[in-house]
Amino acid sequence: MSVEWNQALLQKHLQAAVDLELWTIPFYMSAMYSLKDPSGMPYRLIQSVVYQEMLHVQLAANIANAFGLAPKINEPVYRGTSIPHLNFDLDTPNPTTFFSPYSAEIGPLDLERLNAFCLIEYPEWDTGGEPSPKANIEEYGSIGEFYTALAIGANAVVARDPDSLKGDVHQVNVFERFYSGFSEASSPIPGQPTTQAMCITEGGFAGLAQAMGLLAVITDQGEGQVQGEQAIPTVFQNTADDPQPDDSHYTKFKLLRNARPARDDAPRDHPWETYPLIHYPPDDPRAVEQREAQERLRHNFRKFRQALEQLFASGELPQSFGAEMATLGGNIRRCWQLGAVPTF
Amino acid sequence: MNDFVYRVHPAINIGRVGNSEEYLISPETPAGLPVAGSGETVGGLPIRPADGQTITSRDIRDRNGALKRQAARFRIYQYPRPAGPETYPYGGDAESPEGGGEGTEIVIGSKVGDRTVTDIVWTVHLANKKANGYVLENPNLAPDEQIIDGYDDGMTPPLRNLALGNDPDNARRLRQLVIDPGPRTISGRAREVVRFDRRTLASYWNGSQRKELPSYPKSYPDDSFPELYTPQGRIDTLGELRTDGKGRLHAIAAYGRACAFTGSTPLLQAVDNDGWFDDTGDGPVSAVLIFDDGSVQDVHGAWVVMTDPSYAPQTLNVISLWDDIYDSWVRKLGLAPQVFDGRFLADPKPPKKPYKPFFEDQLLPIFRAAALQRWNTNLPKMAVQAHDAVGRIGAHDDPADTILSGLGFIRNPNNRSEDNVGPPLMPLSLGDQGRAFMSVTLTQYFFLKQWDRGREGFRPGAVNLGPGEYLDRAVLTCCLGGRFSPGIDMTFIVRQPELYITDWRASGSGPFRIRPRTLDYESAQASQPFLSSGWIPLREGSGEGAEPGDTSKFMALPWHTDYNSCAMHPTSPNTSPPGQINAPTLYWSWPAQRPVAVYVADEVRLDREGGPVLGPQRFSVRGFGTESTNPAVQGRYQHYIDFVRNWFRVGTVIQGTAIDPGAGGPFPADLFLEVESRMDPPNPPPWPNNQVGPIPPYEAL
Repeated sequence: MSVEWNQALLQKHLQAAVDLELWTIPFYMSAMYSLKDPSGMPYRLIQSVVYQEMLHVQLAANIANAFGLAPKINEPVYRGTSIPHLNFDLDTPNPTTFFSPYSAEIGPLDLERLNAFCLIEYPEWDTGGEPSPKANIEEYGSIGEFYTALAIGANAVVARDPDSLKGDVHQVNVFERFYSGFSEASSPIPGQPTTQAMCITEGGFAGLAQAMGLLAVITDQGEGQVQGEQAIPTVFQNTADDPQPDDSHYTKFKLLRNARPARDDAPRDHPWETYPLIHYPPDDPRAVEQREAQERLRHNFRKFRQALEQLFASGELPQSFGAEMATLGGNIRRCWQLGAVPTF
Repeated sequence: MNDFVYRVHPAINIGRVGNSEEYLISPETPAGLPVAGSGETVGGLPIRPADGQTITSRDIRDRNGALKRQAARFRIYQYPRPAGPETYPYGGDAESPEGGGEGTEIVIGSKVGDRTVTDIVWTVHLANKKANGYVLENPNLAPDEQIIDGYDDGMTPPLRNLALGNDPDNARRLRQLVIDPGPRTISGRAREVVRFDRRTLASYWNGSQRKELPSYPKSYPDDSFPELYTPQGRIDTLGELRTDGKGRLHAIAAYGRACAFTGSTPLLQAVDNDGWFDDTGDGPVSAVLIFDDGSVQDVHGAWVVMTDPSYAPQTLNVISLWDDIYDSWVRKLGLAPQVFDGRFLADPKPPKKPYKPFFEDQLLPIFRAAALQRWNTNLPKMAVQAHDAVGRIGAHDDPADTILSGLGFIRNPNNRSEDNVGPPLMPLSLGDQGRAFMSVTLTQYFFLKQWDRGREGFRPGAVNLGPGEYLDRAVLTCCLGGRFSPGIDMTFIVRQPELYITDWRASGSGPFRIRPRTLDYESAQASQPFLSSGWIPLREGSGEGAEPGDTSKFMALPWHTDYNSCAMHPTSPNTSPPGQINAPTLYWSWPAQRPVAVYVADEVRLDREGGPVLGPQRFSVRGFGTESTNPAVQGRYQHYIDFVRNWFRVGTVIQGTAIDPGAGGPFPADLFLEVESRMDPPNPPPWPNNQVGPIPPYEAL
């Protein structure tokens, strides 16, 4: 049955985009915090990707709000090999043939996780065709195809009803100063960086152009690249704190995968050394401590999801947002220090 | 044998320049931390000499708008001579690590047994040796080396003012380049002003009486250089001495002047400007007690340092000067074996006990300092929220429930490669020369690690310091540590054990005292400079002690240029190793001491509920001559000379409770706002400032 674009279907896609971008953050962060040395290149490259995934959540939410949807921050599920919205069987060649084994479960930085990272960020080679809309998001063959469809849908919906896209609706703008090039490129006044580059400030077709710019940031930095393995365009590069600002997520992860030591028991003080997982009998006090740390993380992550939802429903930074976000990092690290896998 | 020992406290104290004849007493409570009896107003405020109360905003300037100088106040304390080896805190060891709270102040009129103190004779000798010192920007150092490395293996950095000779002990060079007014004595209760100027006779206590030195070879810049460029007036003094009604000493700094001896020498460098002098300085402080029976009691002396103004006196540094000095004494001088006996006592074998830091003194300062940085920096809102959460950590919180759980955001000083990693590792300030970012001291990190173990890892209370010990710590807590490139109050030499009286237990001096070189004033001759090039670190003989001027000579010359330029920097001139791309982003040098972006008290408005709403942030150093389109050089004068001309116009950031109605206050205790600025507005953008252009060199006028 053919499906046509409408506001509701577009909103469903935008919610899926937020879900997808959010899903990657605990997954990547957990692997990052399993590393003992925050000064090593593995840690720092993953961190730079995590920061951009946070940006992508913000951008997807800004587009969603412009189209009338205050996105929900749903609980991400990490199970088996189920990476959201990816059906590798639809790809030719199937990338799992070389990025295997992989796992979509929270875990330390190991080969299974690195393969999963590469699969998530695996670039789509443009086949030239336009994807048709799908009511079931899972039916897209790749994230690239999904974002391409989303862009087509946004254009179609605005073309039918320009009022379906409104400017200045609960827009969030916390990362802009990390992307000076984008601020300058988006400015209506040459040489004068705008302070609203990552927001949709206009309605109708002008707003649509802004939305397309935000989608391009997402796809050119990370998931859904449709031009093969490309450097990030200069205007979308992090200008503040990225060790390799021109490399896409896929390039960074592939580099890590290739540089990874052959054995998991990396020597002490090595940048790849991870905290060991330790299994205690259930009634051992250390097992109790592990469970407490996991529960603390789950609790704080729930609070954080609520705060994030509030942020995108209002455009105003909740009072405790910065603290709640930062606390999660400590909570994850604490789990690893105790030998437990973080749980969200 | 005398049952008591007598010590001057603070062991090291700080005076600060100002352009007013009037003065305040420099802070004697720790910046940013709670003070008993002060309500919500935290420590760090200077003190009014007239009534001993901490200042409010109207006290910062005199009626003509000039910035008041600050005096280092010294007192004498009596301690019972310990039966065994002395411990620190006095009476503190593994069994009672909190200390005994010992120490009784001795003033004129105090009874000691059956004797009465009838007078206190103080001797202070200030000097400024900066122009005869060694450069700080040592061209022989590799990018990852620190300033101290330039003194290793018998080496020294190049001298400043090499055009006047390459022998730092050449008599002519010493006479030309060392400002040496000679020693001064003062005694009694508030009866005289003794200046370190040319007209006032040099004098000292010779062991039995005060002796004048009419032939002392004083030297001031215009003795050797009749043609001087003096934008703020001649340097004709290094400050003055007074006593108060109890015979305590007030050592007051000079006027913040700088002058150039070649008349047209431009100020082009941040820290090493040949041809220039300033009127800061330092030197030993000694005292004797005179009793009514004619007997005399020697007192273990102290050291005074005269330096830059403090424009944010209540903003605590994450690593204060106290933290650096305490860390050195703990790890290198056996100060507290209950903390460190060759290694930190985290899990020692019995009978030794793990050391549990005291929350109020050894942890809270780190947390509070982090939160206070927001008032002097342009941190974005989300970062402010996170910093506030750090500041809210209390003694009753389970560390695992706090934002610092797992210490995931604390740069680990044991892993030096983390020196080159920026956010989210904290502190988010630039590090020492050779290190891109700053780390807490090893002792601070040990305390944090113990805390992170949970409630059983630390104790909620405070160390029970005696009043003199409290002063030692409080005054240094108000000063800058961590980033000695070179710093503001003192610099990298404070980490060197050979600077101090290392036999502090046997000598009875107590800890933290700079060893003064024994000076034979009887030998002073008018024809010869009295002081030598003096103490340098890492030398045989370094333990013989420091002369007057030997600590400040390692600071910037003049101080103004360093202060002006140390607003925001890329990690360069610190290291920026391959793969490190923090270079285009700007970070703060010394935000607690050198505010970068501030909120102005006059611009706070009230919302509908009557709550305060902050105005826009302003650069602390702003107005005509500071403008630039390049973020890397904003918030400072584009020509160094303009800061020499305008430094006293900079406003002061203080707590809302100390702001008078005339300045719009009082405000809630959680606001720290700029008052008494004589500068004009532009606004800084929020951090991160990046994508900056190349940093242009300073232009000569």
